[in-house]
Amino acid sequence: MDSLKLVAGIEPLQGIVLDAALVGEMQRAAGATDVIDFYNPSFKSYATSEIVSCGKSAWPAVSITGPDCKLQCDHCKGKILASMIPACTPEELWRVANQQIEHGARGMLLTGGSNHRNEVEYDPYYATIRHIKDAFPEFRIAMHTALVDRDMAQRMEDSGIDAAMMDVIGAQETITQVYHLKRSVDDFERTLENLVATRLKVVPHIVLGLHYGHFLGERVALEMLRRHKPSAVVLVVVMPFYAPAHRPFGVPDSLEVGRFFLDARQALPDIPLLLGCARPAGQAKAEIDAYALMAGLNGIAHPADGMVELAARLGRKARIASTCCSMAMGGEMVAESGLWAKPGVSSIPV
Amino acid sequence: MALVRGCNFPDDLYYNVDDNVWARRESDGTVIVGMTTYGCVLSGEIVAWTAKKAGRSVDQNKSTGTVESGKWVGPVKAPVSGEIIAVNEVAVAVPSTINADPYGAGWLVRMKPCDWAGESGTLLNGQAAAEAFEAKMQTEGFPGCA
Repeated sequence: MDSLKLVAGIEPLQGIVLDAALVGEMQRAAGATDVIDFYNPSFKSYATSEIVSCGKSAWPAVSITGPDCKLQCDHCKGKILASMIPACTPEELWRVANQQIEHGARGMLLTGGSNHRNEVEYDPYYATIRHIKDAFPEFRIAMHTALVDRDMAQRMEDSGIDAAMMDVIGAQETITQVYHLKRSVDDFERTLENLVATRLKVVPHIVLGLHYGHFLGERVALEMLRRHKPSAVVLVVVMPFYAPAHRPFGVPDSLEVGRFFLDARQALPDIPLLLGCARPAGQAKAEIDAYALMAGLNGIAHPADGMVELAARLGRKARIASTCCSMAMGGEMVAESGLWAKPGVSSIPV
Repeated sequence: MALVRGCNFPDDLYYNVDDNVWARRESDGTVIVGMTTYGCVLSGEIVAWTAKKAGRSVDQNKSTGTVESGKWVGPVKAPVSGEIIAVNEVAVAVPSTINADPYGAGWLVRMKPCDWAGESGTLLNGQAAAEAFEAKMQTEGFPGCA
């Protein structure tokens, strides 16, 4: 059945605008997995008519610098860090990890603000991270690495983290203007190379529309990923609402985002491709998520209302997990969660 | 106006305490719906209000639309059943209006209720609402509105 007609029949998706030609192309290119994984990490309290909010502490986000970040990138200004749990000393990190585990956490996103070289200064924390992993081997840690050299990547591996995440940027103008950073596109590729050389599961992200809401270096970034073959790839879409008024970001065009999803799917046919939790809100989010589903992405974090029903109508079996999508290698976390999906059922308690 | 842990709750409104929404019955019989100051503080800075379209009927305690902030995405539940007859386009265009003036310019939808007399009995107002919010804040460990 025509995918557009399916979308039109789903109440939360009524009114969204999808491009018929692109949807047709996605349908013809189908052959994608028959399963879609929906992720509901608890660093954002999230509920729709289809997915009920799960435990508050299943997958928290922790910042080793609190809200502080030297870069003050134009799209964020440190606001993304502000909602995370601060752990600004190794002792505090140990205490936070223990508290979260006591409250039912299965893992955490570990990140922090960058220095002026786009490095997160984890050195004082590695011994504590190792201690956490030794004491709680089932507790998963996904680390936002920022830029690393070979030695830093090795120290991350030695600390016992489960997944390494970084944003891959493919345009010098974006690095200079948005990130205010004196680093090169090659530095990002070298970071990817250094991480992939370890035994870590490496899950790079591409932020679509990072150049003030416009596409610029995304396809160069995609080529980098083709060269280095990470464990999985997360696509996110820039959130325009944190930008200051004097340097505004537009909402990236949903059609262009959808086109990129299809190109990325075809460029990386054997690598899990996921839509991460950062993206614009409202109608744009519903359009982006619908394209992601139809393009054959393997997973979506915090899916827009109506996605579970759309997946079922497209014949894809939905699974739901309360983890970060960057832990999605091989789907093992979804399986471990013991969650279920039932196509055709649109109200799923998690 | 009741003040509970620094959060204000106007006396002329009816509250669904569990879902942090308020309803105000207008002289023409329609009902304005919005979020409480408590709900706004819990959400943090609201970045999007995506309402259901005018003309849609919504059952009591079902979603009139979705509010999103940096740390929360969730439905705003209808305090009573009815038809959505207007959406606050100011709140759609500038969602931070909801935080800035939740009982005024930051209202969310206007509804034509099906059975105000029957269903409004499940809502609380005045002192009963204040006491219920205090109990909820106590349970949730809420420190208060700044």
